[in-house]
Amino acid sequence: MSIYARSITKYPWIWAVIGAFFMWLLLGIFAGSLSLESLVTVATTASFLAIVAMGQMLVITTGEGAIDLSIPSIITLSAFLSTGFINGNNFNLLYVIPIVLGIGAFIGLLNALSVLYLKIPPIIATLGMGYIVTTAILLYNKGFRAFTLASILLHLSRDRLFGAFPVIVLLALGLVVLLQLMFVYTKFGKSLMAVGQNAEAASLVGINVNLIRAIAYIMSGVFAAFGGIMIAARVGGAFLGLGDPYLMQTVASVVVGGTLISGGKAVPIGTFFGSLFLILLVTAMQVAGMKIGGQYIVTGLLIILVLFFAANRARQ
Amino acid sequence: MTDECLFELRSISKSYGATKALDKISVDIHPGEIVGLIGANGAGKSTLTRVISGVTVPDTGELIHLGKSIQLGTFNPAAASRLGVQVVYQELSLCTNLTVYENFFIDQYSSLKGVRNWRKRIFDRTLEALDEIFPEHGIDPSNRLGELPLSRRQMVEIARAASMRGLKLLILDEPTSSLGTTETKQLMKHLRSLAGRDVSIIFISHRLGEIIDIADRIVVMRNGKKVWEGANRDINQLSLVKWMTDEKNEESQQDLTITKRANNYNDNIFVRTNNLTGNGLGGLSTELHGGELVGIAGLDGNGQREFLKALFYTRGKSAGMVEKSGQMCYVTGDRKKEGIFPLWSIEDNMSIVEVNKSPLFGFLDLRTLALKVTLWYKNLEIKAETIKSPILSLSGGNQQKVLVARAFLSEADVIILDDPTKGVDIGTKRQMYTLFREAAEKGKLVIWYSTDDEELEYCSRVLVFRYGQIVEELNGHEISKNQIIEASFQGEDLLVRSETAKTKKPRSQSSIIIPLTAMLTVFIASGILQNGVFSRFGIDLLLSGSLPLIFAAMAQMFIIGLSHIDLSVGAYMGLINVLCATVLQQNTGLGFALIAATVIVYGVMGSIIYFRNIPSVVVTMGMSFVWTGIAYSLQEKPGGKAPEWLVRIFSLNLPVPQSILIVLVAGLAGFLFYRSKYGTVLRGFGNNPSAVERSGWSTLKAFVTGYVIASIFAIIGGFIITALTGASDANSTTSYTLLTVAAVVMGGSELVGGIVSPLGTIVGAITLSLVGALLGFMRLNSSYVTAVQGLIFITILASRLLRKVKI
Repeated sequence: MSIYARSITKYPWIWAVIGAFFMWLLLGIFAGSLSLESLVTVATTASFLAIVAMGQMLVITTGEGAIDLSIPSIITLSAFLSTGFINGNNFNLLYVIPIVLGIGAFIGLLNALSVLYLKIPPIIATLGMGYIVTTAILLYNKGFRAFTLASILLHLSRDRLFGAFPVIVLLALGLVVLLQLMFVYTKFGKSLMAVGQNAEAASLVGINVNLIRAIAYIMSGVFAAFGGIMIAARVGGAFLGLGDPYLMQTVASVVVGGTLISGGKAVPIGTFFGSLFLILLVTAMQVAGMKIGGQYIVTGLLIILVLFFAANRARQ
Repeated sequence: MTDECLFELRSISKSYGATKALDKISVDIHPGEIVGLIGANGAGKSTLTRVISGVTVPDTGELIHLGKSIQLGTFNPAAASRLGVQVVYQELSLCTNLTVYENFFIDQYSSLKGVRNWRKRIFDRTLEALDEIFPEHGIDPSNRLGELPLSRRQMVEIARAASMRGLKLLILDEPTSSLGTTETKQLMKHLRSLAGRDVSIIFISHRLGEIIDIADRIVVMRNGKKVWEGANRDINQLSLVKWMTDEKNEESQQDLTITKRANNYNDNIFVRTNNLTGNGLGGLSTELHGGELVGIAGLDGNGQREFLKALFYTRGKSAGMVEKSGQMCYVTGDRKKEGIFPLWSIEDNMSIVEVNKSPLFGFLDLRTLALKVTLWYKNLEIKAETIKSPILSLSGGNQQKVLVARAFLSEADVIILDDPTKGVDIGTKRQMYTLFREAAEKGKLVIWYSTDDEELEYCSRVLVFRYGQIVEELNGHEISKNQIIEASFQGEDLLVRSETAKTKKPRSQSSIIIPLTAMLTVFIASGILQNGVFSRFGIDLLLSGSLPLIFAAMAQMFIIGLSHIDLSVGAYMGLINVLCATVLQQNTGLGFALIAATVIVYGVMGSIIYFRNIPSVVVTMGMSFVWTGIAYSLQEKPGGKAPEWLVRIFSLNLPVPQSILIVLVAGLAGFLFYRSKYGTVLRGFGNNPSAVERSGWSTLKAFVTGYVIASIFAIIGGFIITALTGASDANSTTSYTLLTVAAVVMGGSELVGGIVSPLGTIVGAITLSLVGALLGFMRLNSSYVTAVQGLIFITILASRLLRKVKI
């Protein structure tokens, strides 16, 4: 096995980390100065992406080409709902956040039901769900007023702990740790990876394959909803299309981070560094003065290249 | 029958790891003779077939055709086909989305080269072949294969192979397994007539009576060797069975005398079946106790696996027919497909079964788990570097050990073994036998299906299966390999040869009605709100506006026809739009060159997907960013100018509105393409790529062609947008991509399986486009467009699903 293949098997996140590091260096070169501050700033932006990408990672891990195309619309919906209902009042957080997360979970459940019981391919099912959610957003958006953001959310999304560590980065890293623990220490985590590798074998070992898959979709919905709440706070409001960029970005983060697109292997820390790498890349390109067109080309080629080399089942 | 040999196999050997599938076997095939090839499970018959047909390259030996030695390195199915070799496999290699005669075409295309009226020709030829072999078959060659019951499909497969021009050797592997009595007789008659025309036939079957009847010469195989060969009149069924069994034990299994048969059966009835029927099983009633080591025997494919699965999975129909208690675990013999978790280590592969006992999100005690696992790892002497080595680094036999260890680790009460010792070396096998016996002695119920009849001598009870029923039950000392083999061939009378079932009604026609209705509804609604719609001008305007999506959707359709998805279609069209309004407008030559370059890139994308086996979803998603990026680089803000000549082409004043013409041409093009020779082949690839490839077509070429054609349609769409808007905007088409998927699916095409409808796609695209206009007429905010489109998409999808469920 080549060095690449060996390293990626043992430490699947390694290339994302190395890539992020070099991208940070590159950014420093373009910006004319290398600073930890720039890394922290980028990490802040990347954390929002990472949180949402974790959900995509879970769905992709269920295997058989699963992908969640409803994430962008769930983000946008949650952004609208949370800013609208909280309306600047911190106390409203107590009930609005659980409700919004609950809605995210519900959408995830609907996705799961379409895929598992109606046997609709995940692409179509989540695509259709995305349409439905977009409709909901439009209906909700009809009677809209100005945005006032809850101060707690503002703190969470913009502030730093002890002035140094952005809260959102800590949240994202916390999520990474939780998920990593989940995959190593819980039945769900192991079962999810088993299902993604070989669903037949998983069911013969007694795993409830449908339940595991459903939970993955539900969790993706919850993460997307949470992400939406935070993103709205960070950005200062909600607007149509807020979540759209996250579709490609979540898939890219997941893939670059070492999670297998064919399912069966999830790398939470890789997804985080994949997000970091992606945002560093975008920032570096911006700072280097690369036009938006060039940025898109580089991002697109990146995904294809990563897939090209990561494909461990090349045709013989 | 001449004396010269058609094919000679000289001392052919083939091993798969520790197993010798063929052991220096030599066989001659003469022209015009029918050779019956028989042998017990694993004797090597299939491997022999695969060697002659070029699928498998033997390790040693020679293959000689008409006196000339064949270059084994380059001998592949296509080469074998050229020599006149045709095989009818047990697993049918037909495309369910194509009609019967189209399936014939996939195989027999070479004799139709340059023929214009090929559809009629192959239709006639198909009917001829079916009539010749199976008179009164009742098959309409224009039926889709998927609508035919299994028996008719088998008839099609046989007729296809047998009617091949230039046929010299026809190999049939269990051809009568799904045929009715009449058809079987007809087949035999035809085989004799073929032999009379100097065609050689190899007939593989477990139906000894049939073989003795039809074959001129019979070859008996055992353990990869030829053990008997002679004329059919020189042998009878009993002797054949004797030859198939091991009279002289080659391997030293003799010394492992069966000292103790598992015989400890207790009163715990763990499994009881009451007239278990369905799925090929015909009314099994049996009780299985703890402490028993129950062997499941019989020729492969007689319901044994279905029985095991029915016990494990009780759900649905079988729920009332199977009673069970206690924990069950299942050990499969098909490691790759349903056994191992390929990315994991040995330890993880084993421990997953323990993990299953915990609560879903509870914290696992990894330490204890590791101890338990290590115990079993050592117990079974699994040969690996460490317990944390990846499972794929183990030999097949050791992988199997892991699966068995897993079952015992789970401490289940009932252990179901589905041919667990296949491909495993003798030492490992013995270890496993001891394990199974000990488990039974401890009071567990061990149900053991094996295709190696000798192993089952360890059992306390053996149930021999035939045609989905238990034909013989052997107890204690009655159990011997020979007894089992004999029993395996019994039960001929049980074969309920059903009258060939009726063909299902075709459903393809009706699925266009729904999208058509949707389209007309939207159209009429628009017209009600805005009278101008119902005019020539109105229709032209609306249709013109739909053209871009129509072409984009058709591009998507060609990709979906391959069972892929293209998420870059929208971005690509945007790029073409930009190229038209910038480069093309200024420098026609360069513009076209660049556009041609993008077509090549599209083809390369298809080939990357082929070579690296990457899901098209993600590759095309990445590519969409490249396309958008290039578009933005050329033109950051909307602008540009459409080339004069392009605008002129699209504003011709014709008697019929131009848009209608374009739609008709597009639809016709799509329709004609899929009805063309290669179009049919492409559809076949979307359904059963390995079968089509076996008939000699190139998968790579198919992928590249599909992608290139898609790009061409997208280019036309891009041209149209340019002409319509007079300028370009890289952003305008981004929403198209998902809409194209919606349009194709709405129109009746299936995402997987190669079922595509050009007409439906166009209707779907028009419907979705019209929504924009409709909302305008309703004075609704244009941001609702997506919502309404989505609603229509979901409604149509739901209605199609409901219809499927009802059927």
